[in-house]
Amino acid sequence: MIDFLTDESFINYCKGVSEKDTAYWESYIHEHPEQQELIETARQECLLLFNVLAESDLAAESMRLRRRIEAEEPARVVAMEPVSVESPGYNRWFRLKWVGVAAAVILIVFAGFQFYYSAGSSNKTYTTALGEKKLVRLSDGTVIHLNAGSELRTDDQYGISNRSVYLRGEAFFEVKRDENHPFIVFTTAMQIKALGTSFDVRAYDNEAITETSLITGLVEVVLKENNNQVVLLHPNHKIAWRNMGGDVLVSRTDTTSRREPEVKEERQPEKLLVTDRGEIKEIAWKENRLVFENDSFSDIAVLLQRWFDVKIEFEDIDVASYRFTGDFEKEDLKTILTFLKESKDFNFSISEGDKLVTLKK
Amino acid sequence: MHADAVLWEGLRKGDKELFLALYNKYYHSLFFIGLKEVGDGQLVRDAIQQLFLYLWEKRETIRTAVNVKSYLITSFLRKLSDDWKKAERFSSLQVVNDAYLEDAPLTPEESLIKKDEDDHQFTLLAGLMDELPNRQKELLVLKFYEGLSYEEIVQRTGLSYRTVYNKIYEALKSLKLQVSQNQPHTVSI
Repeated sequence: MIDFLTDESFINYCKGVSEKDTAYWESYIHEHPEQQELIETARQECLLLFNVLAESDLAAESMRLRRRIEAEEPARVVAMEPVSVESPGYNRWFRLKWVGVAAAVILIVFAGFQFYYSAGSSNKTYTTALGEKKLVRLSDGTVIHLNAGSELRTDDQYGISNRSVYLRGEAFFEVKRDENHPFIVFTTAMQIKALGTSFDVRAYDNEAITETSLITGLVEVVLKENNNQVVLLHPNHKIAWRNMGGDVLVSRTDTTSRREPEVKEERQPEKLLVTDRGEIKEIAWKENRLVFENDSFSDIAVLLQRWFDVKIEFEDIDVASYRFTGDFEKEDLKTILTFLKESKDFNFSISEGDKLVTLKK
Repeated sequence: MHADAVLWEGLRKGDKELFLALYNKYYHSLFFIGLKEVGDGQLVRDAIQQLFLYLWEKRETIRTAVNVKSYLITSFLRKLSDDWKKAERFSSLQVVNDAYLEDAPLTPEESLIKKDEDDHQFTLLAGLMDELPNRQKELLVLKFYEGLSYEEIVQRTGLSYRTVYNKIYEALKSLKLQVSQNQPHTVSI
């Protein structure tokens, strides 16, 4: 039976896609009537196999489309100054996705962040708690998605003489085009200048890595602590900067590689990390997705703490160095940990009113 | 299954479920037409996704379609052609293929698809399929669903001819073996 099913010509006959093969097998059956029943059974098997595979492909693709359109629905986002779905900013983001995603920038910022606060009165500060995201629309039409545990402040003169904002944490910017007033994001280590473009900046105080994902256009990044080196970023690229003295939240588990002094040298942009699903890891948070690509458990823990507003402690240092690859959408913490547990040997317990997670062997 | 007009109106009104039903209804038509044109299943899948994402994005401005299937096929072939050029595998692709547009005949593969979800054998095989190692399932997809030749699979995957053949053989064997174990009273005609 299998011998028939592994035969290329037989498969073509079953599917009716080749006149030559159909003719061959019809004449074969004619000459071997004793095999007719066997061949018919094999043909049915082949068609059943085809149908099962066809159905499975449709189901997977249909789910992919559903996830993508549902990701557009602003779940878990609290709009401070509501942006309707019809707004140009929102549509543009959609179109960008349709085009297929273009670019990203990665910045690395550390602790010791001194936020610049002016005494001005007209600035606005937007903050998000842990486990919370917000959508903000500024006076010029620029739309900002603010990730959990972040703070964004606009300059006193925003929309008047400049378009400057100050960020700690992570935000995705869809900048309204205005060539006379460049849009500038200030963080401790970098400043990012854009005309009209979309990009993500990640600059958490407690994190070793800060990421900015530029989707389209061009941005200019100034590395303040690298002799003000200016880096021009093109689509699909990112740049990384690691400050000295930064503190990783789960620092006791992962200090060796992080504390090496930074060598001052020219920084080069690198390619963005695109997952198998064609999505950019750096901006997956915007769609309520958590994406890990060979990330250490200690890095993942930092992310989980922010997303779910919990405290995570490692009782075994070994566990903190486990690496995981995975992709989660709108899952709860317990589900995610249970899933990770499948691939590596560890246990977890959740206590103190779901606020403390302990990880051990 | 809903009529095209109902599905299309559903799309225009932003009804997600009707929109997905439209996708489900025409997925295989588009898939096999696309496969015949470019031979690369993944490229085809992505083009179909992008076409529907585009429709969803533009749902408030799209017009009433007279012939939904022709409209979908035409837009899809245009999209596929753009993608194909971008992929630079061919300098161009002849896409204005009128053969698809008149009565949009079924592709041979499409006519093989039977919607019989109560079929016990189908359910059983689908379950066994999910338990196969990914690599084996992937090869079955290329061979039986997308209809690639062994030679094409070798080129696509970088595996040796022997490995491809053996893995497909093993996969078929384990599907078959388990089918007979689970289903001792199979009546085959």
